[in-house]
Order: sequence, then structure tokens, then C-alpha cells
Amino acid sequence: MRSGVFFGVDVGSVSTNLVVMTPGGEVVKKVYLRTEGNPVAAVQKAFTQLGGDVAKTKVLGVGVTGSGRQLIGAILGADVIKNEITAHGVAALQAEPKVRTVVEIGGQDSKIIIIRDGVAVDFGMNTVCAAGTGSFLDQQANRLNLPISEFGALALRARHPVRIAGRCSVFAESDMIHKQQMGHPLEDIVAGLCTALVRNYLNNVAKGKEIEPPVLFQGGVAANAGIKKAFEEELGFPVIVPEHHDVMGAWGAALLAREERANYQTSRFRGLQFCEEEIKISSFECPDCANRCEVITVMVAGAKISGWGDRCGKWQRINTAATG
Amino acid sequence: MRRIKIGIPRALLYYWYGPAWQVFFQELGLTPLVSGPTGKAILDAGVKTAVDEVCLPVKVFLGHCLTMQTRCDRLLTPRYISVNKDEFICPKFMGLPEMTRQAVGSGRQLIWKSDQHCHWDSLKALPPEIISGFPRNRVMKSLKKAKAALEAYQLLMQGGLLPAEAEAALLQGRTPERTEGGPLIGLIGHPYCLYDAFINLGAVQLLQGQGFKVMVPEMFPARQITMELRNLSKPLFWTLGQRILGTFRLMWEKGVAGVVYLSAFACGPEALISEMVKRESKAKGLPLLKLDLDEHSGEAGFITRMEAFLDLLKRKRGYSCV
Repeated sequence: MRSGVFFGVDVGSVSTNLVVMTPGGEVVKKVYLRTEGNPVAAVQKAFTQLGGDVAKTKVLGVGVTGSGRQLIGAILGADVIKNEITAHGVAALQAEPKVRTVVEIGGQDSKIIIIRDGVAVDFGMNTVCAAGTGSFLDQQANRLNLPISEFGALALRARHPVRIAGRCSVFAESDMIHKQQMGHPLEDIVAGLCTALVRNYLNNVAKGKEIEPPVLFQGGVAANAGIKKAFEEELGFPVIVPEHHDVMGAWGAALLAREERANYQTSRFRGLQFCEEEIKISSFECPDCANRCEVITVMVAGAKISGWGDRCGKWQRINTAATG
Repeated sequence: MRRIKIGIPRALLYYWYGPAWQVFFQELGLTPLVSGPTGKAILDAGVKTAVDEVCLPVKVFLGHCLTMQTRCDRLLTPRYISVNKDEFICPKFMGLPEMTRQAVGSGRQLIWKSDQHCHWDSLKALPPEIISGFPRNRVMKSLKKAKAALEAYQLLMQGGLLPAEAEAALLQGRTPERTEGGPLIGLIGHPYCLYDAFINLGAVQLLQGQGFKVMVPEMFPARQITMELRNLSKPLFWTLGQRILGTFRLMWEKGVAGVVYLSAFACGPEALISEMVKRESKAKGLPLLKLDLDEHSGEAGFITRMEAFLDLLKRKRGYSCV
């Protein structure tokens, strides 16, 4: 780490991930935390957990991705703010240069990225429905009083997985309850749920896309062995769960920060002191025109550092004034 | 004497005929008044009033009518039936005057019919009040001027201007400042999806801001589109659908890096066309991103998909990723 490090942050709806990457592209440290509805606190906590040795190294660049990228990007002083699809694609190529399909299932969304000859050529994302994503599994595990970490192992023990309607999470839940009442063993229901989720993914997110091996399975849900097995059964070939599957987005963000290093001389990173700062976020409806945009502003230590959500760009301009 | 104000909603096929309508009413000695760009208040008014089944653009049209009706004496509510021989415009547009009457509840509508052959050449299509209220030769003269303006407007767009730029050039003599260059990107869809920056979250500006040169369907003449679609096993029924498929092919021939397709949620004819476009994009190997517009459009999902698609195009072609 003597030559400096890149930070990559993925601020998702369910988890917030942070990686520390060497200029060579290697992940030397990773933190995986629950966002718990408070992305700012989660990122502060993640950086606090890094410890002293990282605090002393030079920061070469910071990349941020995930649904909270704009907010966290402003607070950190990120050099690169990128969408999750690009970040996941870049990380997958770093992990497995021959990859042809990336399956990513996160908390609120799931995606597929089709890669040919080392270039992403197509992608798909789930539409508004969250059936077939991590939070649905989370919910069901909760309902069954199972720690989510044991979910996969339990599914693997199933002898006769039951068929669960996976098209809609609400219907899936009532179907599961029905199966429980009928007396099916828990492991068969859990395994059935895994298959339902995979079927929903393949029919919905991956509809019309050619899934060719090698397939990389990443995102928080990739830790679930039951889902991995269900994918392999449906696809008919093995899928690879990369070592850093849980932090691929963050790794991708760090890789993108490295890639664009030529465009910024020194990192805009505001330093680890942001962990102790008081960060206030407020929103209001701008009354200046008929659009009535919901504008978000971020204040750090009493000074406005960023704003967005407006269509005219008036509140966004303070971003560049503060950081650029 | 106070000049009568004719309200023209900036919605639906305004993006095709708006400038010509303005010229026509001006020539007659009336004051055309165009509603402002769509905003939240307009959208909310339209969504609240319209029946559930209509598409978002029709709701937007009604919103424009509702918010401008008090500012004008008469409201132009065109009845689009057909603009080309043996082709039709969406049936919802045929009933537009009636839908508007239900929503706005006023008897002050001016109904301009657009039927086969007689859109700009015949008095029959004009609102009856106009025909009875003005001398015949004056109406004819105004119509001729309007038709000339329409042709000039179309030529400006075919020369590479976006509709708003062409309108400003035609009516105010303002020529746009353009920074040319950048990779080409195609943007297809119905005109009222592409040029209403509120319902499409500023898609054109977003693409331009990322360094792309945007190509739109209105930049191609109708003749060329018809030629392009000759090989279809059965001619397409809908004029607007033809334009989408035809210009998709033409854009591919022009070498666009990719195509963004904005479609209106709950648009019937588009359900068919979008599938044809999808299949052709696959066969041609031309990257396509289809985004649905509705009143619940989440900005986050929309922007994420758009950015990811643009990154994909840039990386594919080896452009810098900024």
C-alpha cells in the first residue's frame, strides 16, 4: 500500500461496500455493511472500520457507485461517480477476463450484463418489481425465523423442492405459507423459493438475452449456495462465484477511478475526517417554476456542498463551485 | 379591436405541425398562443382528468388544454385521422376533440381535421368556424402560407436541426449555435415522446451532454422512410410506427453507435413496432436501449440505464469514458 490506494464505494439499498485497492487492481481490504436506510452513516462506519494503516496511505482516487452514489459522491469528494452496471461489468472483467455473462443480484435490483470479447454489449435490469432480488429473500428468511446466512445451506439439503409461484413476491409469500400449512419440510420450501427466484430472474431480467458461459454470479445473493445451485440446474452449466462477489460494485468503482486517473491529477477525496463531521441532508420543493422539483441539498459543517434533483441545474451548479 | 386568441397545446403532433398552425392563424389576423413547455402542473392536471386507458402523451395534451384554456378564446384540438394515403394515426387521436370536450368542458374548441390527402390542401379539413368566418380567398392564401411554412420546417429538420431549433429558425429567424462532432447516436420514438423534455427527463440534452450527436426521426424525409420499408411483407398500418421502424433502419445505415428508443407506456401500436425494432437490432448487431415513459418514471432507474448504455457504447468503440 506504500504507493497509495484507490477507494471504491458501492452504496446500495441493502448493503454499503467499501474496498481498498492497490494501483495494481488488487483488493487489499473490504468492508460489507448493511445500509439500514442511512447511507451516510453506513459509509462513515465503513471508513471508520478501515483502521489506522489505511488512514496514513496516499489516496490516489475514489470511485462511487450504487443507488446512493450521488449523495455519497458529494460527501466523499469522489473522483468518479458511475452507474452500477458499468461498475459491475468492469469488475467482472477484472476477475475473469473471459467472462461472457454477468448475473448480479443485489438488494433492490438485479441485472444481467452480456459481455463479448471483453466488451459489454447488452444489459438488462429488473423493472419496478423486486420479486427475485435480495430483499425478498431477506424478508422470507425473516418470516421463517432463519438467519439469511443459513438460507443457502438449508436449501442444499432439500430432497424434493416444492414449486413456488415466483412471478410476484406477494403471491410467492402466500404460496409459501400454503405449502407450510400443507406440511412440506422447510428445506424443500426454501429450495423451491430459490428455484422460483431464479426462474423469475431468467424470465424477467434475462428475457431474450443469450446466457453463455463463463457466467459470473455476483452481488450479495451470490453468497447463497441454494440460488447458485438453482442457477446451475436451470442453465445446465456451472456458474462462477468470484472471490469478491459481495463487493464487485465497489471494486468496479475503484477500477473506474484508476482508469480515469489521467483526467484528474489529484484526488478530490475530502479525507477521513468526514467520518466525524456532522452531515445534514435536507430536501425541499423549489417554488421557482411550475416544475416544483424536489431538491436535495447537503450541508457539511454548516456549509452547503452539493445539491441535486432540479431540472434546471440551478441547485446543481453549487456542486462544481464547491468541488471543482 | 381585440384580436382573437387561438390556444395551441404544445403536445402530440404539435412537434410536426405547430409552426404551420401558428403561421396560418397569424395570416388570418388571429393571435396564436402556444402553451409553455410541459411541467409538473400540466402533467398533474392531465393525469387527474384523463381516463385511465389513454397513453401518457394524451394525458399531457389534456393537461396543456386545461392549463391554457382560460388564457385563450378558442382552443385548437386537432382530429388526426390520417396524414398519408392508406395509413392511419392512432385511434385515440381520432377521438381527441371529444376527449378534450369531456375534460375541458368548453364549447370553444376549434377542430382541425387531418384526413386522407386533405390536411393542408383542402378547406374541408379546416374548422367550420374558420371557413364561415373569413373570406374564402383569404383562408386559401393563409393555408398556402402555412403549407409553405410546414415544408420549410421539415426541410430545416432534414438539414439536421431538432424541432425546437427548426421552429425558432423559421418563426424567429434564430439560427442555433451547434457544436458539431461527436459520435452519432439515434433517438427514436413518437415525436411527442422525444421532444417533450419533461416527460423524457431531458433525454436529448442528456445525450448531447455526454458528447453524442443526436439523430432523430424528423431528420429523414417521409419519402426515404417509405422506400426503406418497401421490403416488409405487409405495409405497416400506422404512420408513426412506420417512422420508428424506417428511421431505425436509416440511422443504422448512417452508422449510429447505438439507438435509444423512448416509448410511451400504454401505447398500443408501439407494442408491435418495438418488437420489430428489437428483432432488427439484434440481427444488425446495433445496440438498442428501450425505455418506457410513464407518469411514474423513476428518474433513478431511467438515468442509470441511460448512463450504462452510453458507457457501453463508448467502451465498445474505445472512446474515453468521460
